[in-house]
Formats: sequence, C-alpha cells, structure tokens
Amino acid sequence: MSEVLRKNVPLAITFLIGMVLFVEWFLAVPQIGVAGTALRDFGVTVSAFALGLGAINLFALHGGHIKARTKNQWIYSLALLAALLLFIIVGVQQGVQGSQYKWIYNNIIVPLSATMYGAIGFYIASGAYRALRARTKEATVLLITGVILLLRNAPIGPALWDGFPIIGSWIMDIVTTAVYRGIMMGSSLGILALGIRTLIGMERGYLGRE
Amino acid sequence: MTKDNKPEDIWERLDRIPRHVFYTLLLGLMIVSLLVPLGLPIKVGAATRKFYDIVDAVPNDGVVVFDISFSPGADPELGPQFTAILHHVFSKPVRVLFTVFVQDGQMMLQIYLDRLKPETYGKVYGKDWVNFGYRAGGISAMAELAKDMTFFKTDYKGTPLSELAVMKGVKDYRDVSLIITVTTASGGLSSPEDWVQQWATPYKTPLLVAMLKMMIPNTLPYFEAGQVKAYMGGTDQAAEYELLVERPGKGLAYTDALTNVHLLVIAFVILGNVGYLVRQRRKKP
Repeated sequence: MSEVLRKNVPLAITFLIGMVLFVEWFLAVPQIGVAGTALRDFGVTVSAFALGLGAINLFALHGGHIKARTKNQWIYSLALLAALLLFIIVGVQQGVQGSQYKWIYNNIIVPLSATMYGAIGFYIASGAYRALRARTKEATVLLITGVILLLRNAPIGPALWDGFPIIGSWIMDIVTTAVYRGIMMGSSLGILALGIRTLIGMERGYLGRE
Repeated sequence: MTKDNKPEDIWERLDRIPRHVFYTLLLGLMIVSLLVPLGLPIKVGAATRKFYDIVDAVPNDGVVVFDISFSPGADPELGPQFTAILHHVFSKPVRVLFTVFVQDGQMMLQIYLDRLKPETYGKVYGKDWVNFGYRAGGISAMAELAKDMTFFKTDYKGTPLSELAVMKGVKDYRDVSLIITVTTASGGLSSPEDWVQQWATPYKTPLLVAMLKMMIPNTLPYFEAGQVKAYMGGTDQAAEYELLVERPGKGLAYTDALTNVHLLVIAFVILGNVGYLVRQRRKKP
C-alpha cells in the first residue's frame, strides 16, 4: 500500500471529521449541523459493527487455542465459545424476549456476575483490616478518615451519632472532591492535548505500527 | 512468630488474623443478618431526600428519560436503587422513555419491568412508557438523541416511534423534564460524565445519577458544580429511598447485613491496631 493511502488519507479524513464536529459545536451553521448528524449516525453504525467484529475476534483467538490444544487454556476457550454459540443460536431463534434466552440469562449470567462482583467485598474488607494501621502519622490520618467514612456509610452510623454524616460529608464534599477535581482537570487537559495532536496529525498511534 | 509459624502471643494474633477466619466471620455475619434481621434504625440522608424531591417535582405529563446502563454484576447494589426509583416514577403521571447504551442493560431492564409490572401502576406501553432498546454508539447516540428524540426510529420491538402516543410532542431535549441514569458504565458508553457532557451541560437538562457507592467520588465534582442535580449510591441509599416511597424492598433487607459487616470491619481494624501498637511498644528498648 502506498504511503499516501496508508498515512496521508487517514490523517486527512481524521482532520476533516474532527473539524466538522469541532465547528458544529461552536457555530450554528445548518449545513455543518447536517454533516455532524450524519457523522454521528455513521459512528453508531460502526459501533454496532464493532460488536460483530468482537465476536469474530473471539472465535479467531479461542478457536486457535482449541486447535492448538494450548495447555491450561483450550478447555476454557471451548467453554467460552460453546456458551457464545448457545447464546447466538437461542438469541437468533427466539430474540432477547424468548423464554429460554431469558432463562439462561437470569439463571446463569446474573448469579455468576453478581457472585464475581460480590467476592470483591471480601478482599476489600480484608484489605481494610491490613491497610488501616497506625504505622506512621500519615497512615493514622488514613485510619481515622477510613473509620469515620465506614461509620458514615454504614446505615446505623447516622443513627448512632449525627456527627458521622456531617464529618463524613465534609471529607467527601471538600477533601475528596477537591482531589478528584484536580485529577479530572489534569486528565481533561491531557485529552484536549491528545485531541489537538490527533487532529493536526502529530498523534498517529491509531494508524497502527509504522 | 514461633519456629512452627504460630503467633507468639495474643497481640500477634490480633495483628495477624488469618484471612480464612476473617472471611468466615464475614460470611457468617452476612448470612445471619439476612436470615434474622434486627431492624436496625436508619435515617434518610439529605442526598437521597434531594433525589426524591427532584423526581417528585417532575410536572404532570413531563417526560423522563430513564437510562439503564448496568450489568448483572452490579445488580445487588443497583437493583434496589433502580426498583425504588422505578416505583416512584411509575407512581407519577409522567411519561417514561427507557434508553439502554450497554449490552446487558436491555436484559436488566426487562428483568425489572417483568418484576414490577408497569400495568399494575396503570401504565400502558406505548402510551405512558416506551423502551428504545439497546443501541450501540454510546456517547454519539446519546448526543444525537438530544437533538432528535426519534433518532432511534423504532422501539425495541421494531414499532416506529412515530406511531407511539408516548412520543407525541417529544421532539428534542427541550421536551425532556428529567434524565435519570442508573449506571456503572465507563466513559463513552453511558457514564455520568457522558450525560453531563452531552445533555446536562449544553442543554441544562436536570440529571440524576444512581450508581455504585465507589463511583460517588468521581461524580461529586459534577454534583458540586450543579451539573448533576442529585445522586444515589449503594444499597444504604436504596433503603432510604424505599422508606421515602414506602415500599420496603431489598435495600432495607440488606441494611442489617451492611451495618453489621461495616461494624465487623471496624472492630477488626481496631483489634489489628491494638495488636500492632502493643507489639511495637514491646519492641522498643
């Protein structure tokens, strides 16, 4: 593929699309508005295709593991593809409102996902016990803050003492928010810089390897 | 530690409580709390009250965009919140438009609609509420929806939106009274930030966010800036909302377990620190 097709054309398309959406946001030009709508519409369609591409990628990757009998992997790959095929077949046949489709989802996916998420609670609780130690002055501040927030978040906390929600809310609303605001502003500036670099062709990671 | 890897004394035991002991106690306490509820007292907090008041203030025939963007993993935490809010919204004479931008959201919405049965509230599909179904595109689709509420063309069954009475007079963001998102979604799909960027900031549409407890710090800056009008997080706030709508559910059922587990963790943290500090003092010459 020529250099022009491989690099310059995608860069030009990126610049053009970026500028249309950029101008549309700041200026009320009807023609640009129509172009912006068409581009977003296109984006929705591409996103839908991405789901299909993801499924094909899964088949390619895990199919390879099954074929090669990859040690400690192929059996899981087989289970994954079998579940995927089952869902596709039942889903295509019945639609998402089908009774069997709903049964599989409600009785397998929902409890398994909730269990995975719920298990994290044990690690967090154990982590709190091990991490909240008054080893240093800073760790002591963390310990006191942690205990106050635990009591603020426990439903009984506010009933035990009105001060827990007040102090807890102060920590959350003032201290935590200030820190998060700083993080968000920093990351937003980073995103802005990345956007500008992408628009003017300085950021070329999305084109793939040179 | 002794040579056979056993703690030397009680203080070391407190400092190094084995994981399996901790997990067993945690699990046992949770099971007992769920089986034998004590009915420990709870208070309705200001955040939950504000959320409730905003939903309650939606005018008659107002349009509520209700976004469901969570997967089954978050169901224990978000399900009770969603149920309580859904009950409140369906109890009011408002129109509800359900949007879904994450794949699992459609199934989660269906599960809760099957349980709650909108018809028991006198709500008729197509007249009082509509389900747009899952739509790919995340933030792009969300942005376009603000400009054209019939952007999706059909509902989840394939019925043209133009044929549904619920969509009468609903053209764009100006016709929407409130957005409620129940979400765990990450940026670009249907996160609180996405709704802030695409709806709440440019069009000033009131936005309420129900989310996981751990997502609150991330959303607080938007709340403090007035871009998110109110928020809910965790089953404790779900329980508070259930009290407000007078509809006890899983939120209240989980309250005792939540309280007891929090107290157990605090007790262990205190014991661990006592053990640690005594041992440190003994080590000093």
